[in-house]
Amino acid sequence: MLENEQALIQNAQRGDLHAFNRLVVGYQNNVYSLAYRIMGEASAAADVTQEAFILAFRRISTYRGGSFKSWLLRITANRCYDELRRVQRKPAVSIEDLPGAEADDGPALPADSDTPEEVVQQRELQDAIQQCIDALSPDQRVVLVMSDVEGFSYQEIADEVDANLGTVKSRLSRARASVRDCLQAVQELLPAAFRLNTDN
Amino acid sequence: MPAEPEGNDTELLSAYLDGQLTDSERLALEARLEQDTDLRQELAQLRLTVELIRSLPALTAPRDFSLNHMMVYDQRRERRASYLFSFVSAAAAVVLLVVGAFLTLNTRQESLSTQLSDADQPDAIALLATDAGLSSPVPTAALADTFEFTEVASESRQAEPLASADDQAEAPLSFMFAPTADAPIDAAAPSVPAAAEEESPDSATTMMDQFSASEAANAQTAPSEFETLTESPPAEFAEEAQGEGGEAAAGITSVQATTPPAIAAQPTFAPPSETPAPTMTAAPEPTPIPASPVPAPDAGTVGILLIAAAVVLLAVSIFTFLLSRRG
Repeated sequence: MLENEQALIQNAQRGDLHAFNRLVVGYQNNVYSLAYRIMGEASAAADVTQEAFILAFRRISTYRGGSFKSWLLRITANRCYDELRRVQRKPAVSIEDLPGAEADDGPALPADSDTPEEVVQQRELQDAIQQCIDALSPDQRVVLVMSDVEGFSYQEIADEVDANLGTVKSRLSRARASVRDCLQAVQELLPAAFRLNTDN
Repeated sequence: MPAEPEGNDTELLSAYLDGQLTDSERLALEARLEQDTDLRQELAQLRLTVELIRSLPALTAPRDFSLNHMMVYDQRRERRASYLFSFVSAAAAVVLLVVGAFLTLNTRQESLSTQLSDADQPDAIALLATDAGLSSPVPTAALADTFEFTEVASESRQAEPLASADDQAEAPLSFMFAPTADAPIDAAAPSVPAAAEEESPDSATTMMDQFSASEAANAQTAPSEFETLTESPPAEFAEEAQGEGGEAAAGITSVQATTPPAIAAQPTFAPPSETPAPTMTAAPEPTPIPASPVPAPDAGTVGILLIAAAVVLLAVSIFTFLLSRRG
């Protein structure tokens, strides 16, 4: 929770854009991270992040207390879900996605950097996990990221994706099983402690 | 005990990891886990998978996502303006469409009624055609007089007031239209003076001025106003004359060319002159009937143009609306 968060929220609710921007700076890493995990691509994640903050400012009058971060992340996840469904209906390749083209926002960067070797190792593992997440359907992807990356409860997820608890439970279990099966193919990238050795 | 389907086991294990099972479900599952190695192995794999996913680090935003006023306000205003424009243009298109359709249908109806009216007077048309062929026993002046009455009656609707109310009351309408009684074309002539008398008393004054002027004017210097009055009879008359007369000139122009001598012989039907007759009228200065060099478009043409404009406007409205929704 940010310092003077409630005061900033109240000022933002009165239309103070400067106060809201202080909230943006405080939570933009969380929002972008969630967007990247769901969208699986840097430029799309940046677009969704910007749209989520615009949407949050317009809807900030509907904020009724509780965790502002959770409220912001739910808006982000919902925006990602809408975008994934829109792309699914109208698949298109952006210029940034073409081979040889560079995204404006650059690759996603780890928040904590250790040694170069560890960074490379972690990057490979993260890429492998992210690719497995990207292979999921939008429904499963949103539920998996909201649950296992951001720690939302089943009920919060159900509210955001407009589904019942049973559907969320089912989607999550299938998503986890799919990622498990996907990671079986890249066990050499996994740390020893995380290796999915069927013999154990 | 038969084994449960793997999908159900996975869902149970997944919910078990999240603590989402009821007590009875959890106890039943734990009892199975103690006995079923495969189930325990699957639980371990799922747990490791969840831990791997949760190990994904938070990312650093590649740039500052702070908002500016253009992001927050202008998009809404633009969208509202686009919606407003599309709705207003759609409403305007509907209005144009209705007005255009009304004008078009009304014009067609008038055209049909005119044709029916002409069909009721075959004698007049035949006489016109015969006269255009220069073989009719009908005096040319009578024909010209018929045209004159028609034109004056129509022009009188647009004429400016030329005299005071007292002058209009004293206007000798019967004297003005008396010559038509001698004209052999009885079918068309009587209705026109009646219409002129009812609709516009000003036309009586105008006619009186024209009559006064005609007495004072020289027949050889027929003014252009007469040409105005006689040069635009209905086109179907000209076509009838052309078709039947054969050698007749193209349209009423030929009739007009033969008219001045006859008018000179009968001063009553002489064309009006712009020179006022001081003894016959109380109007100080007669206003010449304006001759429009370029004919104004009829209502039917205007109606069609309005319909076309409505269609274009409607297309623009739909396009703007779709753009607003996409934006």
